[in-house]
Amino acid sequence: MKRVAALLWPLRLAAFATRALRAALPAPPAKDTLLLTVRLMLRSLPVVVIVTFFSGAMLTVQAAVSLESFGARSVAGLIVGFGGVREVFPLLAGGSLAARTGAELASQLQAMRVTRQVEALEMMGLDSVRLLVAPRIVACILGGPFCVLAAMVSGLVGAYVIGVFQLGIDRGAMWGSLLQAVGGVDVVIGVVKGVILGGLVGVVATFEGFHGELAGPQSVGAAANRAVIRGMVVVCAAALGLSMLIYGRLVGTAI
Amino acid sequence: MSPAAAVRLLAAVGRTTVDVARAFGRVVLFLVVASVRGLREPGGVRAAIQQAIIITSRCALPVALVVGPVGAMMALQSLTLMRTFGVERQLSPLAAAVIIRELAPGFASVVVAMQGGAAIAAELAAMRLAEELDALEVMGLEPRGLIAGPRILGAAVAGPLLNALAIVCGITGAYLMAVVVLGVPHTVFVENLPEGVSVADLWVSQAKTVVFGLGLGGICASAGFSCERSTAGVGAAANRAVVQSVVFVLVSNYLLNTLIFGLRGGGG
Repeated sequence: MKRVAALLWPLRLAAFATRALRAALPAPPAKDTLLLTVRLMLRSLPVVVIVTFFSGAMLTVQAAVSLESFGARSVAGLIVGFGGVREVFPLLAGGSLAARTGAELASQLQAMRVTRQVEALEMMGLDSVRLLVAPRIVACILGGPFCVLAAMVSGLVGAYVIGVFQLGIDRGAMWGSLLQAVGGVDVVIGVVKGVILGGLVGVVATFEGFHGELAGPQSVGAAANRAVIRGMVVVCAAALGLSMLIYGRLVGTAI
Repeated sequence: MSPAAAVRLLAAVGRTTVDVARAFGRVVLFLVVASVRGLREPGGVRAAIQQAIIITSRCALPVALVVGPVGAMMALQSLTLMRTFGVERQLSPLAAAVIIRELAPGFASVVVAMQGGAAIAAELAAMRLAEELDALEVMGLEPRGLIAGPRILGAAVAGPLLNALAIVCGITGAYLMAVVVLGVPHTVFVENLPEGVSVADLWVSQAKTVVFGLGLGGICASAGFSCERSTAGVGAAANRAVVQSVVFVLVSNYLLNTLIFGLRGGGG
């Protein structure tokens, strides 16, 4: 029974998101959406920046060590720029978004349900899905691309700073090799990834915030927990799917 | 900038630094006190093992679902780069090295923070809210050792177990992508696989996850303990715990790498 429920989960997610967006389309709560987007950026961007800065740094140290035996540590930037911008930084941006904003949205909504605020809205004849869920999903869709782009920049800066100041690689060579495998098309792909990953994080978070059994305060914690981990799993799966779609045909023809 | 403004800025920076250092110190103190007392409690080891089993079983599926695709993505992108240079046989050693050294411990610990850590924080925060922790104190028991200790130690034990699973899943993901999807010959992948890694790499990888597990256990347990007493406070504690422990894992991963490989990345 539980397995069947797990299989149905993606379908329920899709139905939930469709319902929310369709309810909001005729009369979107624009002000709330804007405020939530601003809040998302203020809360999530610092986390995204710190996480990717250090992962860029970590990857550079690792790549330089691995390439040491070939005497090619100055190429470290190429590998970090290539793999980081295409995969690691967007993925970590999605993960950080799920950890910060996803958990926050889920616990907000669940707290509203536990304290019967959602029912109060319904009693007054207001559509809680339109008012509470839709603006949060849209805010994630709007904020996602900024998170991914910030992640790319911050990861590259992290790699550069560590490469130059810690590993002692020449400044020009480091910057050149970081950007060698990165093109304008990667920025476009980053925006697309941001929209999709952000939207998925938003849908998972609001769904988990609106569902689950109401058993007092601990269900708020449980909802935040589900939102984070399921958001992370969905982000990974979606990132793999997108990579196969975008880069799968290009294997062997890149650069 | 006027001198007065400069002084104000300096004061703000100093205050923030002191606050961060103080928060860090509090977590470290909490971690040490809780785990030492947790071990000293009668039945403490048993409780820690129980927690380790709970955390491992809760996190096993998410770890597999996260690290598998990450390994596959790694293989896809490295192959993109490698086919242009015609060094396809280098794929599996590289994949094994990157997965064992970085991706498996890093992502497994992030997942443990998100799944196990958030659950610890939420559970302890709910206990704080229901005044269960205060009740223990009134009875003269030590909630840090009794409640937080086993969970922190459990996370430290679960870390390496889940890391082993993550390594297997990551390499399987890379294999499926490389061999099944992109048509690298099976023998080329399997025969070159052990070239990239040594036993020392495996030990370092496992040791890292013990450190990550201890740290994130301490962060999450102390976030739960210092939760604000309201329904929204429980969610906020879980959220704070997850974010801080994800940041902790990535920052300390970098610091550990620098420590292990030397400041200059091995010579140069």
